[in-house]
Amino acid sequence: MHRLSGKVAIVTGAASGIGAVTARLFAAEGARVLATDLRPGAADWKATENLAFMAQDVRDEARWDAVFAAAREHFGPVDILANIAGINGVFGDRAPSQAPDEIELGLWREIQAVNVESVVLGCRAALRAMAGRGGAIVNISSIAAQKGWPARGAYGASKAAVLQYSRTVARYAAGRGWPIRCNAVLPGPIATPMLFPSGQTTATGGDGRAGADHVPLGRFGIAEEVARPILFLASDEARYITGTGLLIDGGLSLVK
Amino acid sequence: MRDSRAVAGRLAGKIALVTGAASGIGAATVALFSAAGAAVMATDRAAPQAGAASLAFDVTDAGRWTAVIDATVAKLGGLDILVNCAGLNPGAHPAARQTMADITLDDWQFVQRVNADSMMLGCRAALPHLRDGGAIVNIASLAAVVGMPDAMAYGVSKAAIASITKSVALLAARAGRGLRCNAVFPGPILTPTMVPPPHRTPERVPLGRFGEADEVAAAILFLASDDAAYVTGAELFVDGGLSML
Repeated sequence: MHRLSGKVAIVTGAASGIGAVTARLFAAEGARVLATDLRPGAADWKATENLAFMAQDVRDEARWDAVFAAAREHFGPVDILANIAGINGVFGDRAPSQAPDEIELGLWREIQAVNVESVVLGCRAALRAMAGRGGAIVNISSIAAQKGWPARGAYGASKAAVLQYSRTVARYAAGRGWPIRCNAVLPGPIATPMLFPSGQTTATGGDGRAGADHVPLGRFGIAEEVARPILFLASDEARYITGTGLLIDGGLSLVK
Repeated sequence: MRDSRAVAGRLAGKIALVTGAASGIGAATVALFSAAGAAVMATDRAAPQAGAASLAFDVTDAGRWTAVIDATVAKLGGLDILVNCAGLNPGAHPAARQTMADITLDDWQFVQRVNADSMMLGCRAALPHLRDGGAIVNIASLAAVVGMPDAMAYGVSKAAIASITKSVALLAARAGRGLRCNAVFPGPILTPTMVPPPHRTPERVPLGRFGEADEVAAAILFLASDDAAYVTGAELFVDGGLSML
C-alpha cells in the first residue's frame, strides 16, 4: 500500500531540482505521474509505466489544456497538481539586477509570468478538472515570500503572490463545496540547480554545510526534503489541511 | 489514519514518548505511531492502555519529567521523538473557558501550567536525550493566533507554545545533530472533550466539517518523521482552512 495509490498527478518543473525528485517520489508512492518541463528530462530520466514526460511552457495558456487532456487520456482523471516550475531570475552566469531602483520591467514580467501566471493557469485547469471528484494542489512559494530581499525582489514578490493565491484557491474551492485542497510550501535554501546554477550541489561542494552557517540546522536542504512535505500535503493524510503555507527552511525564518 | 498500511515503516526503529495519550489526539498519535513502527511510551494522568509501554504522569510535575524520560530510555532503549500532547481545552475544563473579567489568577496560572509550562519542561528534559535526527512536536492550536475573549487563558497558553517551539527549534539546532522542534495548530477537532463555541459550526469551517483526531495525528507523524528532516520551527495548521480566513 503506497501513499498515493490510485492517484494521477501532474508535476511541473520536473526536469531538475525539486520537481524531478517530486515526480519520481510520487511515482514510487503509487501515483501515475505526468511530468512536464520546458526542457527535456535530465540524462537519467526514465519514463516508466507510471511516469511520462511532456514538454510544457507553463506560461502557455493553451498548453495547460493539452497537459491535462494528456494526463487524463494516458492515466485517468487528475487528482494532484504540483506546480513546481519556477525561476529566480538568475540565468546561468547572468544575474540581472532585481534591485528596486534598477529592475527592468521585462525581467519583472518574465519572473511573474513563469512563477505566478503558471500557478493561476495551473490552478484554473486543476479546479475545472477536479471540481466533480476532488483533488489536491500544492504550489511552491518560498521563504522569500516573507522577507525583504533586494537581490531577489521580483522573485520574492512572485512567491508572495503564489502564497496568497494558494489561499484564495483553497477558499474558493471550499466555498463551492468542492473537495479540493490547495496548499503551499515555502522552501528555504535548498541545494538545487536554481540555487547553484553552475552545477555543484552546494555552495562549495562537500557535505551541504559549507556556506550554510546562517541556517540554524547548519546545512542546505536537499530536493527530497521538499519533495516529501509536498507528498504529505498532496496525499489524503493531509485531508483536513487547506489554505496553509508550510515552511521548509531549516529554521532560517526563525532568525532575524 | 483510515488505512494504516500506508504508514508502515515510516517510524521504523524510532522510540517516541507521547503525553496526553489516553484520549483524543494523543491516543490517535500513539495508535498511528505504533502502526508506523515506533515503540511508544504513552503517558497520561492515569496510565493509558496503549503503546509499547505506559506510565501515569502529570505533566505539570516538574520534578518527574526527568524520571519519565529516563524510564522511556531504560525501557525502550532510547528516545527519538517527544510529542507534547497533554493539555486542557475549554471543553474539558472550566478554567480554560473564562473571560479576562471572570477568571481568577489561580485558574489563569493553572491553565498556563498545564498547557505551556509542561511543554517547556518536556522540551528541556527531552532535548539532551534525543538521538541524532530526533524531533519534538508540540500541540498548539488555532487559538494561538486569533482573539479568544471567552477562553483567554487558553489562547495565551497556546500562543506561548508557539513561541516555546521556535526557541526550542533554535536550541535544538545548536546541537548540530539534526534535532528539530515543530508545532501543529489544530482547528476544531472532534475529541471526547471538545465543545465547540456557539459561533463555531461545521459550516463556518471552509472544509465544511470538524476535523478528526487521526487527521491531526497524521500531521504529527509527518513532522516527527524523517520526511520533515529540513522542517524546524514550523507551524503546521490542521484546521480545515480556518487560518486562511
